[in-house]
Amino acid sequence: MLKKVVSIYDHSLKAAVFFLAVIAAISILAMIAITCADVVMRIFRRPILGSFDMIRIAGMISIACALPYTTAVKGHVAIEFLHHKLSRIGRAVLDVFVHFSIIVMFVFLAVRLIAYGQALHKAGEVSATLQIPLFWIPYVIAISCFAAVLVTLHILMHPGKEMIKP
Amino acid sequence: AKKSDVPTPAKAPEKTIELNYSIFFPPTHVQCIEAQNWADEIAKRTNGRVKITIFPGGSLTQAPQCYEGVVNGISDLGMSCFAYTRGRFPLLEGLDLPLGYPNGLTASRIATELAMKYKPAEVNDVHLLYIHAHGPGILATKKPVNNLEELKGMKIRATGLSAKIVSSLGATPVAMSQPETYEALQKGVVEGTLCPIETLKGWKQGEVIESVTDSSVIGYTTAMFVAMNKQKWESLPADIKQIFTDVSKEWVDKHGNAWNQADEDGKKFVESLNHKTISLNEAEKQRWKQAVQPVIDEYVTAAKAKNLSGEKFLADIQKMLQQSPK
Amino acid sequence: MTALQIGICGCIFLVVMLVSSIPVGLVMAAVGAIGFACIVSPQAALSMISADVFDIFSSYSLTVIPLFVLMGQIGFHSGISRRLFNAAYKWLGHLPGGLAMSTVGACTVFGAICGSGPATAATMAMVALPEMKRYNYSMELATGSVAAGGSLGMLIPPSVVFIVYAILTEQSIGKLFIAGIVPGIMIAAMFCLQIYIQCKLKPSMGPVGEKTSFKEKLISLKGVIETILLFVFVMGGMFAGFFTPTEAAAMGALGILIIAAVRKNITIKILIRSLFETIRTSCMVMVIIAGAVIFGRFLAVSRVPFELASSLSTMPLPPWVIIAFIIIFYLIAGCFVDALALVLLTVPIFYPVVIGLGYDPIWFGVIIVVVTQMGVISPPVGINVYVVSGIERDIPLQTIFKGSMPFLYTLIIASIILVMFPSISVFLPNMLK
Ligand code: NA
Ligand code: NA
Repeated sequence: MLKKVVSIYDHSLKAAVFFLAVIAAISILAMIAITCADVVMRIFRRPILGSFDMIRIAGMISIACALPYTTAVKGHVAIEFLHHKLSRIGRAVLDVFVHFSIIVMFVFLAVRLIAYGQALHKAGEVSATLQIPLFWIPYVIAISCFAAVLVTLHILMHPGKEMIKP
Repeated sequence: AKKSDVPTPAKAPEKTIELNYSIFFPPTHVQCIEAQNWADEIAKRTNGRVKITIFPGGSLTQAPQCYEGVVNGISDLGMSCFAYTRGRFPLLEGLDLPLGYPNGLTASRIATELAMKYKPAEVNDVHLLYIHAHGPGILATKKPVNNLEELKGMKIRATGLSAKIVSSLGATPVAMSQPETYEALQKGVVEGTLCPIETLKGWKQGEVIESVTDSSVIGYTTAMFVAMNKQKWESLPADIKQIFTDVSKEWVDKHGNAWNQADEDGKKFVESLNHKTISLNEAEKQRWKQAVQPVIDEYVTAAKAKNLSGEKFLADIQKMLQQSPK
Repeated sequence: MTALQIGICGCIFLVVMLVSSIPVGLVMAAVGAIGFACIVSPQAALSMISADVFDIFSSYSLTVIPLFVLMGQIGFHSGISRRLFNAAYKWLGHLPGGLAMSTVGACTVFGAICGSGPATAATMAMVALPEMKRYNYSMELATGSVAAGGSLGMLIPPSVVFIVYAILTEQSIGKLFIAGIVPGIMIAAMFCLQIYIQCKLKPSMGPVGEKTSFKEKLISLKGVIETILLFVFVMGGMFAGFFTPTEAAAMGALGILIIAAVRKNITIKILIRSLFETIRTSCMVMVIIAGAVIFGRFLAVSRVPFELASSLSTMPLPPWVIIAFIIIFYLIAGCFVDALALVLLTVPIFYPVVIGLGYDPIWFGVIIVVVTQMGVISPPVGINVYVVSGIERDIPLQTIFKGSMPFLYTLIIASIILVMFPSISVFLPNMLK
């Protein structure tokens, strides 16, 4: 029973990470499409008003939504000098410390970003030209941070391998 | 020894109040130097009880994050543009409209006076010290522009509000960052830019344009706040608060004059490069004014939707503009 | 403790934490935030993190990173870059370290499109590293040439560092751009010479290929003709004024997609794989940049760079000693701080001193860019090295730093040459007066 619950949880976490990664990928294609359309339309003196705003928002979504995936494939750069010098037990202890620190940092960041989103909401901040509300973007980054926390927990439980093969 | 041998101070020596001041201007910019003078004057009048350290070039908070940074205490003081956080200042946004500001001094005086008079709720989360604003945004182009027909369809670098001004004039706004603009003008990605003439010298864009059109009849400005963290302000002793208020009042004109001087230098720079400056004739001026009217109307409508007295605010600016010496 | 002491402790703490195998971006962010909390306040530190993350993730000028990375990914997976390097091998493979030299050459050309060092390094790592691996090059040499070559983009115009310097010192951007060309080519040539000597001394580093006939060389070009056309299109489009360098990244990505599609080199599967690799790489790069910026905020508020620079500039020493000290200062400070932040904080202090000594402002701009180039490949904080390591994950960071060392020495020699012969930097811009 418990095994089944764990397995369902694992699968849905992986699905969520993939889902976010797909959004990130689509955002990158959108950035290309908007920029190229803008450049072509500019020749006819009909550029896309607010392309600047759209590209910035798409860029932000692509980086934010890529965060859980990058964490899941162990894509972040780390200096593993100490890791290689330690004994097996030492490595296990270091691993727990490292992943625990990562979780703490991501939780802090997520909580702060929610507060930041609330501040933007209260202040009613919008993008420069199209006046699109901006408050939801910190929330998206925060959700990605929480997903990255779950991913890090998963890696902590299954030491020594990445959660998703790159 | 008797007590009177040692002169005891009346009070224990006060701890100096140290304040961080975040400014997005680079340290060599005249407005940053003016801010330094303001800080020095405060240090002087408080006999060194207040020590202000300036962090220029956005090294403490980036320009768009400056206001929120003051609210949260990342810096105790901050100077940045209201326009960088669109939507946050629905009433004061009206200061930036293309109302025909003659120069930076007038714009700075009007901005500070009206902000203090209206005390809008949107700036309640900080203590606003003063506002300064640059001289009229004008049109600098690669091909001469004498009238709206010649401007039609031209690709002009503009972002945010100035993008709306550019479209209302019938030109094509192209958004890009200020550092990218030099190259874009040089290579023809854009054929002109809308900015205060000072920018042509400061960002060197004068090197890559050919002609300047004096469109100050629709001169817009960018109002820049100087604000202090609310709790920090409340914690100051009354006499120091008074010194801050007094010095700030004096510095509105200093910043305004510095903007005027910068525009003067910008003009000289453009002249030294042998670019011509085109003045619009009276009829053409009226046409430009009419063209940008929708931008102004849009502000009034948006302010009304938020239950703000945008109309009255605007009328006040226009009244003050008429009274101001040209 | 004073802010200054906290700043110095922070640098030491950073070095200790970096080897703990926590991701470097997070380490820099955490140490920066803790230090900021000590100097200003915990509340301010927490606000700063969210504000900076939001600011960097939404930076328009950094959008070039995912786009150039995607361009490199598609080039790699569709075999376009393999054909490109086959051609380069036919032309230069008979030289010791020929492919590493071609990499430096390619970085030089790419630097003319892109103003950002990490983006250049990421793209070239994607294209060049697998190929050098295929031809049995030593990984130290291969990764070093990519990381160091990527820094050339800062000297070859367009360059973000030059723009910032021009604004700070009221110099002409156009003149500075022109001044960067000759030193840029000179340093590229010095890198090639250094690779040649390294491979002569230790031939296994860059194995010599067979000599090929001129006919074979020409034939090899057939496989890359459309890539050359794409390059001409992107460069030409920029110079003709159809798009900005930032927009060129998107045009290039679209162009290479079209080439791969026309050549039938790309399938949906390859596209998806390229996209996933792209989001991983760009996220990795952005996390590092965010960390570097947050750490930079802490150093700024501690005033360590500021105090060091001002005490240096007031010392009564002969002019050339002051210049030497300034270079050493940037060499050391560049170990910890992001290049641009450093320029912004310290140029206003050094500039009046250097000009007072009678040196040329344009020349000093070139020197500043060359010394900041050193910072992006020097340990422990070397953005380009981190980026290369994130792309080629089998290679430990130490190897790349080790491979970058000879290039760092070459840069030091180059800066000495540029100090001794200022006309290398100033004769072109002066001709245009
Ligand atoms: Na470049
Ligand atoms: Na470094």
